[in-house]
Amino acid sequence: MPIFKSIPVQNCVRRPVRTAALILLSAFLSFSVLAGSLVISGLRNGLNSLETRLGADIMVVPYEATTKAALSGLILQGNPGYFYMNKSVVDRLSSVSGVGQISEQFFLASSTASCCSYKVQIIGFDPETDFTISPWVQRTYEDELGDMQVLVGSSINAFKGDELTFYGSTVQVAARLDNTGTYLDTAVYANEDTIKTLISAAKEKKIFNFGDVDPQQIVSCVLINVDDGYSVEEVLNDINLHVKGVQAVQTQSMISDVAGKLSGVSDMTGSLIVVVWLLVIMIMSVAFFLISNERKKEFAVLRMVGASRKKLLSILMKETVLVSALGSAAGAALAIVLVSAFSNLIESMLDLPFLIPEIGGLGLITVCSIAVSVAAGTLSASLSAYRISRIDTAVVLRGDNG
Amino acid sequence: MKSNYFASKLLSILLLALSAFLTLGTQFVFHACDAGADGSHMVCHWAQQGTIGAAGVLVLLHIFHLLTRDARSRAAFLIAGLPVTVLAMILPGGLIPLCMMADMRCQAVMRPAVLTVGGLILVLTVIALVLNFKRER
Repeated sequence: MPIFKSIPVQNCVRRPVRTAALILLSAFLSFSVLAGSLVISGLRNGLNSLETRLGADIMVVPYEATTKAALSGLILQGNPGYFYMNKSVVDRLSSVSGVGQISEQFFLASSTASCCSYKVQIIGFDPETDFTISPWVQRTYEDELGDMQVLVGSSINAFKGDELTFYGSTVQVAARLDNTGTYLDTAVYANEDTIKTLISAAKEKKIFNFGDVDPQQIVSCVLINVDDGYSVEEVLNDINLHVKGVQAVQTQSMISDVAGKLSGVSDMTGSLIVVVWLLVIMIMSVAFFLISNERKKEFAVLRMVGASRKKLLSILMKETVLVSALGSAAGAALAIVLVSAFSNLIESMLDLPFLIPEIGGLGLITVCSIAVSVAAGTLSASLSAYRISRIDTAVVLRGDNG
Repeated sequence: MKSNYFASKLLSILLLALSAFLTLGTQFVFHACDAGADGSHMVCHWAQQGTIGAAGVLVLLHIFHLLTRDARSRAAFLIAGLPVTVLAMILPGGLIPLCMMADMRCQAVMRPAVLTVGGLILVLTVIALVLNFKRER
């Protein structure tokens, strides 16, 4: 093909070490821009996903639960845990004015699960009243969840039809849910009857100190959506004033801590991208300057055989674009592979929800990062290319460095 | 061609370094989950041992590749390395299951690291084969 015979391509092919070094620099630039952008957008996506999945205006938990740090650990980080209050709370909460949708949930921390020395959070919900878990579950599993059937989060290495054993009771995996990038991925979901059977089994085995709770008469938390015409604060205060032994928490305020932490990490990552970007552009500018100095004679010869100044500029710029595009594509591919492969590690190290953008968003970020890197490479070379196009052929060929 | 020879040697050294990194890294850097309090290992430990074994064979093949001058023998060592690399990559999580939770070390660190280093080895092996083929011609 003629393009492979063209001078810019041949120049690159005939100097593999120089080309490889420039490709490596471009790859590094593109890698840092894309990896940083993916981390930032992954964190933002994770926060959005967490907001959607929490999906309720108010969460009501036993008063003791809010005095321990366990609540945010359980709700936001998915640390396995449990707390219970009497089921009669649900009726009392229903009568509070402004309470719209209301649904109870049940928490149970597994002892070591069948394969690993690792605890799993088991969340029970009532499919008839639930409005937070069901919409997300229905994307993967449309049937009704039967007794002794469970749904597993995407981070759990179990698949449809597998059997899991908790406290001596065997449950069957009905489906594996979509990835959310949040604590919900590490949990197991069961209906009310199943989780009560498991709580009874755990109580019988005396693995946790359940005290005198009756598994049939308990709930762990109550999720509430406020009716139109009422403010969340109004209903929250009403519950905290009039329903004894419980604490109503605004889910938005719980997320604000995560949002604050996320903002810090995003700022730091953004600053790092800018620093790396500036450094690489400086290094590339110096590299192109040195290379153009070294190639003065080569371009002087081209001028002698009739190449115009414009032609010289075009050759050098085409070489730069070619090398930058190759390097940027390689760097982008590496960034996608590494960030996707290590997303679980990033999530657990940052202790923040992390969800890589879906294919459309990922494609857009990738194209933008490659474009930015190619533009930066071209910008770094443009001054050197301009200098080369202005060389005095006679002076250069006489050996005077001119 | 001198530059082709240089690139080919550089690739041989890189391949050897990467396969050594795969072997030692799986043992010491991106190893599987630690043993439990009672000293018993989870299933991911055996996936780690299998990967180290396969990566060890890869180191030997890449040493032979580096030391051999004959182009056809070099190609043979490179081609032999391809299925061994794939084996090392599919052992953790593919042929031998890993632990239950995605945020456990074997799933969050060992598997992606083995896949990444293995993937790099595959890409470099293909490039080395192309260069080898060009040199032979």
